[in-house]
Amino acid sequence: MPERISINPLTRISGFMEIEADVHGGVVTDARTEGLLFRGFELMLKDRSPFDAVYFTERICGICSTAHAVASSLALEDALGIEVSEQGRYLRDVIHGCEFLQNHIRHFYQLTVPGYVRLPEKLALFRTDNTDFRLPEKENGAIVKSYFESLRMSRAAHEMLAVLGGKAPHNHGIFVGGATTQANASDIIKIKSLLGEIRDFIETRMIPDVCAIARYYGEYYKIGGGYGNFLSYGCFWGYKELGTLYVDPLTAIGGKTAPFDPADITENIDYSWYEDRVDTYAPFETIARPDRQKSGGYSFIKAPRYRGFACEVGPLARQWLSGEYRNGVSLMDRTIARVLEAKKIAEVLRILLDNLIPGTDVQKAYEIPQSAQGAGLVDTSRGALGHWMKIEEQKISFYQIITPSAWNLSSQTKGLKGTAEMAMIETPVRDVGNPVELGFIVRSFDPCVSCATHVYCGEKLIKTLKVVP
Amino acid sequence: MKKRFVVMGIGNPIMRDDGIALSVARHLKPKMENRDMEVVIGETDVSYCVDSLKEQDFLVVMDAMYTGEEPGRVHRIPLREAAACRRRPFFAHDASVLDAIAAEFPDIRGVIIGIEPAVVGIGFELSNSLKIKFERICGDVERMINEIAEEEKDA
Repeated sequence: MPERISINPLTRISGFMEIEADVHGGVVTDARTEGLLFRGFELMLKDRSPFDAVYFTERICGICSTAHAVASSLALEDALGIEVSEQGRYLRDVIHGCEFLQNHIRHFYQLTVPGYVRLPEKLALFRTDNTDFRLPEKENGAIVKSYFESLRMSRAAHEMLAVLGGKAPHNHGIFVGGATTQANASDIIKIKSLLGEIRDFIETRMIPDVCAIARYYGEYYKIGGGYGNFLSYGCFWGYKELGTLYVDPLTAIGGKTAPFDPADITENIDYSWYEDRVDTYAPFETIARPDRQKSGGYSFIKAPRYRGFACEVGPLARQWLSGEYRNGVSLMDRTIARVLEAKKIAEVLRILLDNLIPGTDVQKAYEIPQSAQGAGLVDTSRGALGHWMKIEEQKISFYQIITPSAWNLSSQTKGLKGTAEMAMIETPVRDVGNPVELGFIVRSFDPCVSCATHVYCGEKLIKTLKVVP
Repeated sequence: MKKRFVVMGIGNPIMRDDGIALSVARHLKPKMENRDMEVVIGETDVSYCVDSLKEQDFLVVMDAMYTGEEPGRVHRIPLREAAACRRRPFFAHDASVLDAIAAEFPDIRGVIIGIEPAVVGIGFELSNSLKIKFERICGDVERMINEIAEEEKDA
């Protein structure tokens, strides 16, 4: 008879995410990722001015707020029929790239490293459970040093973002047309100076640190792979003069790479806490209503699918699709891909900064049509993010958001597990009382079930690690 | 490196009395700066607060502090004592500015000055209760800061 493991909380960032896994004979035979958050932003946006969406949707998440501003402004541009100037794209993408760097540095050091590296008891910022320490003292000590240095580096990335974005998080620089501000020469020099420091940190600390970790966890290259289906909406791609600096919109299903077609995205609510007249729908079709009592439901995270397939999005998907890194598909490969992607993004930023023309104004006056619709699809630090908007009587009548974490942490559909669920299945668990492998696998996706419920009982955090025979 | 005396006001200015320390810090800023003290209006920006500090600083953090006593009352707690009371966070979102400062400046010395709020809720204005007492609160805080500065000089 299988034992059922339940781990909660799982992430080190925030939120209320739970995983359940059935273990039989020391191997995971079934798994569920459960997002215990109802976001509801889509409903809050109804009847608001379409221009509000850019700043409003940023508040979905304090970590990837810039990503939502980018997706929302792209959706508005599509709806309003606005062609963005190349300088506008460069400005917006520089701001967005800064968030990539901040997110990747923060995720690797503050949220991944504490599982692998013994941090000084008195100084560590957070308590850490679910650990597997193997590094010798010398290597461990070097990464501890980087851990503290990374705090300054991730702040420097936010400082870069704020130069053009006004502030971080929740910048007010990104808007329809790219950005609301011009970049002057001193802004560009300041960003380049900060970028130089960050690039140096990535190359001399972050990459050697992830290599050191990888050396001591060889079997982590063999677990946490999952389907191996990848999807990207495109990332720093299709510039008129610069071409594609990172990855075009592509998919890889069953090992076959093909161009991405947005018409093939659907969302399914078979096992999520929502109700609608249909269980599977296209993004523009409907907004499912929340129903916490739904029979068979186990998560607020719906199930986006591409041609019916569950796909992984994020750094490993992009590194694979762009051909930058194709060592394998596993927990460790996913962790390495994020670090390598940080280096790639720093290179992309340098090119974009070199092509910014100081003092270029990219803003115009925009008119909202009586009715229109538009989609904004963009790859962000955690993967493919989509906003779909309809306008009626110059107000938002419909807003759909599919986040990267929905792709990676989706509930199952009939007969098809979600991406992270599949990544856990067939994983050998050495100790069901301390199933570190499962936490490591799910965290390798950088799950961000934002603004989730925090539940406390007095001073004690409710924490669950249950093993039920 | 010159040792600095930093007075840092923190709080949320759109949560009424949660922002009392910001109002007090702004009011006292000219006097404090005349005494060669650095005044930082940190609001809720943890990064800005941390970036404003240096290794050798003596830090006075001013914040709203609810203990259930009379609104406007001013408390003083050594930074080390306050940090020891904090449960180490499990999530990044749970970390406070004190956790972030402790992670980067584990040896920093200082004091927390806490001001009892009357109303914490959405709004830009202080409660009437604190508005009426504002001059007195500023006087109490100023005296406390001067005492701390004198003690620090003798230390």
